Amino acid sequence: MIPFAAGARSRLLPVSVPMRYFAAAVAFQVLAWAMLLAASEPLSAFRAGLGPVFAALHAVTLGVLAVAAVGASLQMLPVATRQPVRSIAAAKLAWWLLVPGLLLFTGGAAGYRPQLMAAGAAAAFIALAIYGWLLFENLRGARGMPAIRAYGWAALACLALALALGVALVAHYEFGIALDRSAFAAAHLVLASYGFLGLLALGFSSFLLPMFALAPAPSERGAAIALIACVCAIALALAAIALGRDDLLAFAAAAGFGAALFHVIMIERSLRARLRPPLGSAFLLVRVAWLCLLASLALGAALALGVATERAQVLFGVLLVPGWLLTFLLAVLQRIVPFLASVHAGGAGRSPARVSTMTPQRTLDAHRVLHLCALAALVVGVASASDWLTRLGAAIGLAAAIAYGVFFVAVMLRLRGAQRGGSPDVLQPTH
Amino acid sequence: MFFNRHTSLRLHEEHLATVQLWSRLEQVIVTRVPEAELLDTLRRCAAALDDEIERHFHFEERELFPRLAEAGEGDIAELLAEEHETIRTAAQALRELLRLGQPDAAAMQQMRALGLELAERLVAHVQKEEMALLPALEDLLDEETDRELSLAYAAS
Repeated sequence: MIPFAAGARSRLLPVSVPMRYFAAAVAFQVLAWAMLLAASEPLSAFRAGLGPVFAALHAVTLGVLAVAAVGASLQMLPVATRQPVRSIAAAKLAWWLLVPGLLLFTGGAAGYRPQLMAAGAAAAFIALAIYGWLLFENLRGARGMPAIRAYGWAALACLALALALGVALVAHYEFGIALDRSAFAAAHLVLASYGFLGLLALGFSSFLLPMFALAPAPSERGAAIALIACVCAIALALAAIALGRDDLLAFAAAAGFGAALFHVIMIERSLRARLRPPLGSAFLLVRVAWLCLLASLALGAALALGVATERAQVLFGVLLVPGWLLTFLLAVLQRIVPFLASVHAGGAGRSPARVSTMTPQRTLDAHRVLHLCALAALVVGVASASDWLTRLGAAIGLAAAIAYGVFFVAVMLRLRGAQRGGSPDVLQPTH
Repeated sequence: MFFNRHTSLRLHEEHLATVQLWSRLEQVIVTRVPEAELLDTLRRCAAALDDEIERHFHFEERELFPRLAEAGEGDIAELLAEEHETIRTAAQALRELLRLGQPDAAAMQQMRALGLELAERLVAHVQKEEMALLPALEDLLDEETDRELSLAYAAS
């Protein structure tokens, strides 16, 4: 072995840093589906306000999506930007504030306790501000991949605005501060889901999905065009919400649809030129997620124009959150987690582990079927206002989340086994 | 990924060739082609791997990993070097099996398993170098060093 590591300050984080974020995201997913299942209020009747459905929604958006996005970007962004994370201690501190804060926030929301929500929101706000600083520092010194850096900057700007609006909404609930709640909530939704989470997802897609598939990355120009179109659509949506112009909001959704379609076509073209024929089962989830993204934007335009029923608002939420963002995240995480585990399984005289030996494939297969069934049941259940079908969807979603938890734990156990000096991972001839 | 350095480009082209060759072997193994075709593909892959170990791996270990380590990326360099060692061990095992004149069913089974293992290890190794090593070279090598290294590599 060549001793290179002495004094290294590398882009490769200690494995505990990203994995603690992923572990929390996996646990929050179980919590979110469980709260949805336990809610007495039918999902299709949900409009707004505190309660278990609201808590389940934020357990997914903040607990699963934002937490995993922080963990993934802390590890993957330095690879793209050629810059190490500025402070590992800050990355750990952010976790210790974010996860208990979100537990408090979702617990407070589920129990109609705004004062608990406010305390949780404050901790989560500080955590996300620390993450925002780490992201800012990383992007500031970044080199290479200008389009992905630009996605990072745009996502960071959306995070800052979404946080500000989120704090205003919590203040409204706790202190009764007067504001146009529906407008603030709509702008918060656009900035958090399509802005921060969506732009991070699209930016990383341009880099990670071709890498997973061993395909050429899309051109910087194509990625930049998609980003500009996305940012214009988001800005237009915010302007439409501020002005109360539904026609403009519908136009923004249509522009977002065009931008998303352009992105999907760009990545699909790239994947067609891949060097290895099998894409892997995660890409089925990626494609379902893309379909949900496009459907959410089409339905968003219809809602803004007033040609969709009021119930379609919930369907929009289902397509956007579990459909697009959660499905995409689960697809990407099932590739990243075993990959990172294999990277960290080697060293100290051990041969590096193979990704396949770190991946409990049957558990992932079971999860995929369960997650897609849950999604289908939710979509059909909400569209047809069928309470039993949406509850069935929540129950299957809970089973899927538990299966994903089993996958994650299995990878961690395999990593621990490898680090404790498991048997050599190279086949030896017996002849 | 787009590379401006000759050294990165050259290594990138070799990575593409490696992935294509070993993906072809995976297909050959999975589709259960006749034994003679499998052995022929395995021998071609083993020969290509010998060349890769001799030139590509040595070049990276001699010229690039120390530069990566100096730039503070020592753990990535160490990880890649460890993977080289593991691939060397597996390649040696494959060579020994291929030396058998008339391999029996058990030897063929071992060769299939080794072929799949090497394919996975090489592809994963290429992915890591494409993500971590080659982009870093864009920063680490100035134009003159890049020219010298790429000429030295071409002559090796």
